[in-house]
Amino acid sequence: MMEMLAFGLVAGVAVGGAIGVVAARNVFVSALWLVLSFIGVAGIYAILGADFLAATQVLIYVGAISVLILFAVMLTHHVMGDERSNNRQAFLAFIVSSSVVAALGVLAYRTDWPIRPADAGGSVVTAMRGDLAGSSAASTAAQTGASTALTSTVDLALNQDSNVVRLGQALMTEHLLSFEIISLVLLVALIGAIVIARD
Amino acid sequence: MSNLSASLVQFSPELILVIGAAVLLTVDLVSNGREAGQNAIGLGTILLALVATFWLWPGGLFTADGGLFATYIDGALVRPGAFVSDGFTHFFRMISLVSTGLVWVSGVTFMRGRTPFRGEFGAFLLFCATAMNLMAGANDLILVLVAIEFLSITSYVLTGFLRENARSNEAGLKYFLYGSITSAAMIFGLTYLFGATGTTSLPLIAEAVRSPDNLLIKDLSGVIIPSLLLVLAGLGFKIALVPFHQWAPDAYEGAPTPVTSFLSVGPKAAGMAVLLRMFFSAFDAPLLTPHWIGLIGLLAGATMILGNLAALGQTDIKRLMAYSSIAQAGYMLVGVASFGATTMGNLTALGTVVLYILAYIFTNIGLFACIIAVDHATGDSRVDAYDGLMRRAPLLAVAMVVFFLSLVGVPPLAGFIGKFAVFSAAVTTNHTTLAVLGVLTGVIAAVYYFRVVRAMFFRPAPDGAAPIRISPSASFVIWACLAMTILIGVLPGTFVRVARDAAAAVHATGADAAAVDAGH
Repeated sequence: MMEMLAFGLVAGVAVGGAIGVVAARNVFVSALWLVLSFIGVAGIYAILGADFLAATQVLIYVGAISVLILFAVMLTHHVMGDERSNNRQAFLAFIVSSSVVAALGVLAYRTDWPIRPADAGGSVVTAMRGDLAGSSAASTAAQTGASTALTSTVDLALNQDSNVVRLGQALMTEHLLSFEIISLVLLVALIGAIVIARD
Repeated sequence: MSNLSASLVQFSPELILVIGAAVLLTVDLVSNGREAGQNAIGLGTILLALVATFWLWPGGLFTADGGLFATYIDGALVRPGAFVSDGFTHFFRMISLVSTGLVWVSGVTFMRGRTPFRGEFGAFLLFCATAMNLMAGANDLILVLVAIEFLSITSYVLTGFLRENARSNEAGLKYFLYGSITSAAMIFGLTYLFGATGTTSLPLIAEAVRSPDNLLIKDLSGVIIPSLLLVLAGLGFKIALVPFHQWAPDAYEGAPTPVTSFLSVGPKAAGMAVLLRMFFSAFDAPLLTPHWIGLIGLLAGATMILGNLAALGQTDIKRLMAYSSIAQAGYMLVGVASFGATTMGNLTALGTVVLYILAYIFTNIGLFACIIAVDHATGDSRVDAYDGLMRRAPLLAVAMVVFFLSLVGVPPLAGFIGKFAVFSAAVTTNHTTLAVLGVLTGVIAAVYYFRVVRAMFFRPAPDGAAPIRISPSASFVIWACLAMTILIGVLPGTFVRVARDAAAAVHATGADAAAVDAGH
């Protein structure tokens, strides 16, 4: 019950902030709403037991990226005034996007998402916590029933570690390549920004 | 695990590209704006990466070990790696490197004098090649996503590269906005996929959706198909398929012409590589396949019809080619929809698509090399600028006719082989409607290509128009692409074998591996 209440609160903050972003007339105000939305998302991470992710969300998105966006808005003079960002298609766009959201929501709600047998004793949250670390080796082995003995040892080994340890392990093993490539993506974005924006 | 050094060897083409790009950026920094050997460094890098690819190719079944960065527990494979370096990967590495190299050479004269950031331009092309290589071998949804974003961000910058040109800026911005939204849709689809299968690894997804006693699939096919639709939005954007194609004409028109040439081949081929590996290996399950075949068939039909019809009214050749390349993506999808076919030379459906891409790449790059040369000389990309081109530059006019004929699918040129393979695959799997549609829309394509041909041959050149001088680099690309276009058409045997072997690597991990075994 408490969990549901807390979830309702942070989800409301996240969605309300997002609505504020698109509804605000002023880009600066939009950016402030975005901060609120980021905080709500951090709350969702915290409820799911991904404490490390929640902390980084606050540090990086709420702390650094929002400030960067605010700076960018303030340095770009002509967007500081009130400016309508809607056009005549706004209503049509609202209909289309809300029906897509509704369809996806109904789909998510009605689907009987698989919960790992290994976590059968715990709540849904603990089951999801297991997947959040990105280490799905155990879960898949369990689903396919490939090797029960192996699964239990893997599960045991994995569940004893904290979230951060498992996140670190996943980044350094199965997702090492993606992790490295992300740094290249950042480099390219940096150089690209200089090429396009330098005076 | 002692396969780290082996992993690095398997990565040599990408490592070479990244190192080359870093060297290029550094040299550009210290050379103070002079073009000090940038072309030598860039093309040398591409050539070296190509050599590494061909060197790795024969031993190309690293999948047996579960790919790169696989997880083992007690010697047993628990999680396949994020990247496989198999024959399919090598084929698309070759496509990516060859197209980047040809685009580089054909655009070298054009970019000189149009941008002060030539070093960065070259480095970005190399980064694009790296991203496309990674897409070719990505075996994990996270790597797929990261590689696609890598390629997207790099191509946005390349599209908006000419800062003083408002058209180029607009094109870059439109491409960026459209791409961000389709990426968001794709990421959302991937989360559903992860939720349904519990993994991001493609082979494990395949296992999850295929296992017959798996109750999951019975309830979850209802969620996997919608998520595949969302994934198709992201891939369809890269390939420029019809409901996701609106960015293409504007981006193609505004981008610097060499970048247009690149957009029409590189991202399209890399997006197809991801789509092929995903659908033919991971989502091939008795309960899923008929659904997505129908979906792909619909997209193929819509893409062929709309792409070709919209091209009819275009007056700018870059916009015309944008719609033409959308239509070409539709023909490729006909091959995907013919899943399960075995056609000429034991080509599977996957093989026909690979063959089509091979034929398309050389034709389109050659055609764009001509467009770049004309654009460079006249600064004009309207079809009217091609009036009397036969008098002003006979090589360009004749070469363009050959490339147009190949795109229409006239024998004995490369495009004919590609179309023949794809359509015969469609007929063997009872997709006759798609094949007929393909032939009919090909006739429409002939109509709008002929408008350019008529301008070149039957209309007088404007008064006082000087002959167009073609730079040696441009004419090299045109001759090379002409040679390949004719070679693939006249001696298709070798290329069919290459396509079949590339396809076999994916089939070896797919459920219809039996079809390939039966063929040999």
